[in-house]
Amino acid sequence: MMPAKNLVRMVVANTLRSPRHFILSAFGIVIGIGAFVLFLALTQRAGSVLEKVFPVEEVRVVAPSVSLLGKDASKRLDDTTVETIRARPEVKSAVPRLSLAFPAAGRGSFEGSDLKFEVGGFADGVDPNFVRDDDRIRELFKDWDALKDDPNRVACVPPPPDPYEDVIHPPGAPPKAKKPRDSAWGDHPAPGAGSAPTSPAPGSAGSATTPDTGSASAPTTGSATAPAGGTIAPAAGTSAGSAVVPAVGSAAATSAGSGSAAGAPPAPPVPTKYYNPCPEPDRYYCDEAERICKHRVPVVLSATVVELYNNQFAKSHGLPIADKDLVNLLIQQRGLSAMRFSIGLGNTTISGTAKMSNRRPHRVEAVIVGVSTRAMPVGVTMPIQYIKRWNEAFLGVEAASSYSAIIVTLKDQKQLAPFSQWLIDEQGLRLDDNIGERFATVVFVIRLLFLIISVAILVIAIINIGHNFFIQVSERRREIGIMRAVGATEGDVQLIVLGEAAVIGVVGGLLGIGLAVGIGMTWNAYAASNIPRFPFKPESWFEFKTWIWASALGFSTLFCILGGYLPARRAAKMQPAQALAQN
Amino acid sequence: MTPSATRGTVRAVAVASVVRLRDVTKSYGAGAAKTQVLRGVSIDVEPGEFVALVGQSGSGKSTLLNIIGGLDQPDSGEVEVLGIDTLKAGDAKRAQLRNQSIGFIFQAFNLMDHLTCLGNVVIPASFAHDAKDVEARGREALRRVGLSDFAHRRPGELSGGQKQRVAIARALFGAPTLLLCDEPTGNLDSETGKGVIDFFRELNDKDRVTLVIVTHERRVSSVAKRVIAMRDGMIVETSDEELAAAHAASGGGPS
Repeated sequence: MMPAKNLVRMVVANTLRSPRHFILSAFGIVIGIGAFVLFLALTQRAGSVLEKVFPVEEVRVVAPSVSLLGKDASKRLDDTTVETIRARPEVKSAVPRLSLAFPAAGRGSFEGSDLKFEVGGFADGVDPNFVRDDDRIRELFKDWDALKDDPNRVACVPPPPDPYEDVIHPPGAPPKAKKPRDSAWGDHPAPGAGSAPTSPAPGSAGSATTPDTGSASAPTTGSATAPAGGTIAPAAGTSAGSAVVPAVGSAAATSAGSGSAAGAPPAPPVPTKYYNPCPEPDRYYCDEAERICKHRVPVVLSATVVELYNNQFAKSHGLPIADKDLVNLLIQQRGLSAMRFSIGLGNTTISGTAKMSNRRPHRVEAVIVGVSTRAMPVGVTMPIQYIKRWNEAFLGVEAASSYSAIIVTLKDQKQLAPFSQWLIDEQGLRLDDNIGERFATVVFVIRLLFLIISVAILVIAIINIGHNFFIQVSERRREIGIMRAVGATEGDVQLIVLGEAAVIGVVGGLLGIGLAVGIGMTWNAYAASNIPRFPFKPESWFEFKTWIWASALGFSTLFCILGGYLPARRAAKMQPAQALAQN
Repeated sequence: MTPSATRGTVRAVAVASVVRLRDVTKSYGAGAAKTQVLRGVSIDVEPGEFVALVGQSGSGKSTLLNIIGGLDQPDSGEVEVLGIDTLKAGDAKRAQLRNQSIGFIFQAFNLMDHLTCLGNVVIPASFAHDAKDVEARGREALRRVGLSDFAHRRPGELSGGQKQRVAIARALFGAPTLLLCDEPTGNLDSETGKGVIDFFRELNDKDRVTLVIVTHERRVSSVAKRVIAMRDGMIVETSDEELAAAHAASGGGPS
């Protein structure tokens, strides 16, 4: 074989010598590889979005909802079931989930709006060790009530309950007193505050005076000072509260909040009693029953909830849209104060169903600590210990250990079928329909389809390359004869032709990848402004993973070498005497 | 099949032969279209010989030259060049032989038009494993053929004679012991052709390069130390008259 250095030099020189041949041969490869990369990147992104919405590697084990003939319909999911499943060799992990089994109402203010929402039926408990998405979640998402030596668990005196409130509301929340309603209803209803709801003037004045983004830090300051300020100087609390509004930058939200508040009953009688606030109000609150400072219940949301808020709720309610990772963005900017809300256990926002339990309603405070893939799709997810305690308190022991589902991760996805069979036959349980898996199948089929299209283009490109090289080899037969005459072996000739094919593969592949990235970026720019928002609309529609373009480059080179193989063989097997014969 | 040169058959021991052919046959095509080009040719060429192969068009002389150079394969027979059985040796061995010991010169020059003269001269170096001082050797080869100033010109800018001298320089690049020439003066005017023939004679005299030249030109064969005539794929005894007739019959055209 000729020295590699000479081979490379000759291949490069030959390629540069015939640009027409190069363009004709590379064209198909560029298109084929472009399609290959673009399609793979698109479906890769689709898969990533899907993974964010549904963790497809997990399956949900549930008890059959309908009694099948001969099956035990009274089957419950309890700790024994969890242990039995965990003992299976194919199971990597099994984590129970427990739903809040009685009504509960949530209330919080978000970006200047008072939100009420149902928590009962939309709350799920899960083992905190199972939720490990980021550092903040790792730090805060745990059963705080189990930590009896928490130095912040100090005695406190809660503010008096609000006789007019139908939904339990944080009494110590003047920092969040964006709405005049809060001030009126809270622990420090100044005489003037009562008129605030009907007069949006302070709010508008506030927005007029501090409209700049520099006031973004105002809420944090406000929340830190307000509890103290509220007791001593109610006016300060109110003004701090109104300062928050312009920071949100949504005058509409202010008026909407004020408007709904305006219809509420007039301010209650002024309580005169002081109470000790808890340290770090973003994280601790005063529990009414125990009169002790407790850590707020940490809650994680699913990406679905955030997207639902962005696309449906925020639009219809005139609330601000956070394009990126809403929760994380807000927490980063303002701390946890933006994420606090109350849960009225035993209360409900749905009229007529209130007081289903005979136990007295109980208010707890919660804080959203992040977004997790392990959160239930629609609702709030918290450490399972809280749900267990509440279910037991409101419904009894059985409700505390009757899990709604067991999330099972298998060691190998292939073992799903036998595992499912075992569940049905031996345990009388079944796997929940996995929507994520169905979507994943759809994405897989689409990806397969796209791949077939790309490969079809590539195959045509290879045939084209083979054809072009046959032409070129016969055009260069004299040259090949000369090379043979001066000492080129058959192998040398073959390598030279294959080398030229490989150059087309590499350069064509790179151009194809460039084409795909170019089209992708153009589409992203177009879609950003011309395609309306929809849930999980991605910022970039394509995910150009390393493996995608690396395999594209590899395939393109390999395919071109394959295409050049037969012409290279023909060139090598040419009798030099005939190649040199005069035409 | 009568050996033209009795000396050749006598010296069948041929250990010292540069070229040794025995009963070489070659045909092209198959079936009805089959043409027998060589019908059992045996030749011995001694080191330092200057052999002219003459004959009419289609007599098989070019085919014989190609078989000697390993550019073509015979159907049967024995071929030994520079002590190597080129039929049994592999393609790599034959390629190495051409690269290091054999120079080819063609009627059509066979230069690569996209390369400079120097580039053409040093092509063999691309296929050599330990090529050293490639450019210096290429320039030296060009100097020997009197084209020192043409190193960076392209063949398209050269006259026919100059092109053939570049081709000769390429053939000499590897310092060959055997030079195979197929109608080297066929495309040249008589004056230029004479220069080329003189150069060959000098190579033969001074450098002891063995030459085998296929030609139909009298002045070339007259310079040669031995003339082998061919007819219908066989070597024939020829008188000078017959040779002249053969030249006349071929019309001076390419063989």
